[in-house]
Amino acid sequence: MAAAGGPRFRAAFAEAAWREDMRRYRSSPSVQRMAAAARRDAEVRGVEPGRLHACQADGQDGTRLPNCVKLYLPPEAADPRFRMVFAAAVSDDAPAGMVLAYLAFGASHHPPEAHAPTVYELADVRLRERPR
Amino acid sequence: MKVTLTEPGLAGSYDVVKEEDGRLVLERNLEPDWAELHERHGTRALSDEEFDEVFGDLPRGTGGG
Repeated sequence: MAAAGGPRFRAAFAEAAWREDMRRYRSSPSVQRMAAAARRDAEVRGVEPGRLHACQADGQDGTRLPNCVKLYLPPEAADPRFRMVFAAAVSDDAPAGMVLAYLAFGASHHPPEAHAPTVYELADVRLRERPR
Repeated sequence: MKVTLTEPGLAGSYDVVKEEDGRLVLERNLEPDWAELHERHGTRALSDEEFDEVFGDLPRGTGGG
């Protein structure tokens, strides 16, 4: 089980998806910095299991993220607005036997008038775009 | 928007990106598919049972995702 204090999971980031998500926040450098710091921490130290939440395989918003997990960001916030979503994959030679493949970063929800995709909608599209 | 070029030397998948000054540029789409990711990292997709076994105790968010 992914218990707090257990070995950290290795994270793998796909550059095109990352660049697309950072472009979305090009007018918010503080958000970009926060996301970049989270990525750096994930890549260098791995992802702490105790910080992860499971995504809903069938979300109330119509998104489908089976076998996906997420980080709440920024981690120190009382009500973190952002998520970093990963797809979990088995790896025989990775710590804890698992690699987390980056899917998307972004806000968990937007005001209706924003007409912007949530991080879950982005992750859902990317997960379905690539045959697994 | 994604486009595919077939010109020798340029062949591949590209993203059409709008710069801040309004220009449209093509950026090479380096996105690997899962097969390539799995090959690169020596991974394979989880089954639902494996996911529940490893992550079944994790809290689940409400609402979307």
